[in-house]
Amino acid sequence: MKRRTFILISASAAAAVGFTVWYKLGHNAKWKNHPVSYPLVLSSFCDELILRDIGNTYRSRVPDENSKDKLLSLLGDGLSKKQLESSDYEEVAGLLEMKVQKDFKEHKYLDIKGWVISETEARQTALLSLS
Amino acid sequence: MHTDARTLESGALIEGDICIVGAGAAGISIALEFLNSPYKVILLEGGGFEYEERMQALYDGKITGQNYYPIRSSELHYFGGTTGHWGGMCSLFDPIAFEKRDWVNKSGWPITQKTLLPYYDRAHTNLDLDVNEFDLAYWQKKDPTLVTLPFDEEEVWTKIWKFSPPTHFGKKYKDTIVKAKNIHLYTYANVVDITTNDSISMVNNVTIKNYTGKTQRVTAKYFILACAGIQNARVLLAANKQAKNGLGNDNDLVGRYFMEHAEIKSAELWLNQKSDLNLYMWAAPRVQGEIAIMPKKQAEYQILNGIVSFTPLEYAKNMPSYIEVWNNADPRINEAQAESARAKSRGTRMEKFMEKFKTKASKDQHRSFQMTIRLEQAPNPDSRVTLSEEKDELGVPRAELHWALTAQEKRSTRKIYEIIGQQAGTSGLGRVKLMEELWDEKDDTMPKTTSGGWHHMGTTRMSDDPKNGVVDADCKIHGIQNLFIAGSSCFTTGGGVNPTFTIVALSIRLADHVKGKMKTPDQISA
Repeated sequence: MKRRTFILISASAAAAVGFTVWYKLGHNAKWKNHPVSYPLVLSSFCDELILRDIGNTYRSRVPDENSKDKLLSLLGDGLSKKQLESSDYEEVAGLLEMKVQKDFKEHKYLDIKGWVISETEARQTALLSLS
Repeated sequence: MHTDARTLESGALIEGDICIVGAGAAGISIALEFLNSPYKVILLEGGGFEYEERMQALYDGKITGQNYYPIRSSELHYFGGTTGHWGGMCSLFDPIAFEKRDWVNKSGWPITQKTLLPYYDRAHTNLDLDVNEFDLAYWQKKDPTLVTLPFDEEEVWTKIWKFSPPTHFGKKYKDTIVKAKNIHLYTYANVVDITTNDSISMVNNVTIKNYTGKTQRVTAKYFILACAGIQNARVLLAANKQAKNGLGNDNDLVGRYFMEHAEIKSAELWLNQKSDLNLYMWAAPRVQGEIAIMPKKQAEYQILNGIVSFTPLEYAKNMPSYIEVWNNADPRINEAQAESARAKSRGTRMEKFMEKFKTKASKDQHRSFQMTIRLEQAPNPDSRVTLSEEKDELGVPRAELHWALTAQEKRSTRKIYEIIGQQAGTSGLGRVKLMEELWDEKDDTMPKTTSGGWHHMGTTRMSDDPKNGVVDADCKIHGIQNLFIAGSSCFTTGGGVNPTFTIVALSIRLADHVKGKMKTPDQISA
């Protein structure tokens, strides 16, 4: 990738995450779920029913991850326990969205119920479906 | 000059230097290249100057395989041919379209994009394109609001379309052709047979016929078939009194490798922030962008060449697919049905929206967009035109079309959307959602709404090797010295874009070639 393009894409991606977190917080004073089980960007396109459906499908497709502990462990990979369990939802959501974008960049994505989503998002929905 | 062939005596002999069979985009473009030349050009048109049901009925045929439009309504049978109802979309075939790709069966033209570039430059005037310019940077310099999606240029790129008004060749070029002293246009002159010498190495004459029952013969030094993708194959296959399997068909290739563009409304793009996607909106006569996949990524993923367009979802979601609307044998009814469907599904809001685009680029912001793919088809010998047992009113066997797609088309469609989805995720733009019929990666069935673009390609494909193609790099039929084919039936692969611009470019190139041959007549021998 050209350096200029890389910088532009990275900057716009970071800005997009920042905007999305701000937008979500601004429009949803109360989070319905802890962001660890509620993918921020995806939840702005899909209602909770669909998110749970995606989560159920992911768990049946990846049975090794069909437990809360396993999913939390994978979602927390690269994050500290303190970060993951923080009550500062904005911070958690932001960190997870960065992880989501990193997944996409590393081609760690899959199609579930038609949505092209990152592994992290798939695990978030799987966790949601277990709640 | 113009003659209505119905007024000719039966058995009359028409003599010329060059005989062009078919007066559509290809045939007329070739004739125009000979305007005011010292050569006598005979231009044969099966129909008249206007649509007539009885003439169109000669194109009736049977469809099997993948659901397709009625053959009768998919190519027009009058002066100007199918330019009588085309959309005007013009773009270049990418360099990769011409290349041999080891993951695409029978790919690889014997010519390159570079070969065609000077002819595209000449073709753009025939099609009334203001400039022959398809470079995104050029258009962005003229209009800085044409911003690309924030995608990785190593993965995807924005391909540019330009729009012909659209030029209806019949209307635009009728006077020029009719007034030309050296071009002799015969209407109601349907070729029903081709006669060759004994060794089937040279065409001696073609027989023409119409509803009066009278027949005439046309002799020329060179013959060019320009009857469009289905009819070119039909005419060759039906010319079987000397060559049992039809002319140019020693290797059983005529009619095979029929290709279309699979056009499918098949995914959605959901944005984090509303956008007008200005560059990507249909806004003729302005340019329009569509997302294409970089060649090296096509190679990496072993996928076909496809490009994706965007339409605001709120307008697109209720629009039926082409295959659902254009289902009548009468093209006029199809046009009426399409208009009615548009009115029903879009309502006045859509009309206003389209009107806005006609005058200036819309700044309406949307959060979701329908994505429609236009995908090249892998050359497939089972996808083919054959002759029916049934004959038309002039005694020529009707065409049967078996459109057959492979698992590669479905897999490529999925993968292209995944690439765009990956880019949307990486860039923070949003997410992509595939239509339900694409969810199961083990299901090779094409979606029910899979439509074609009325682009009939490949039935007399080009190759240097007679075992792989009907025509050579000069569009001459292998083994026959003076019979050429014009049009998209010569395409070896279909590219990811509409064919008319390339048809005209290739036809102008063919005209140049035949002009060169005319200067060396001694090369022709019986």
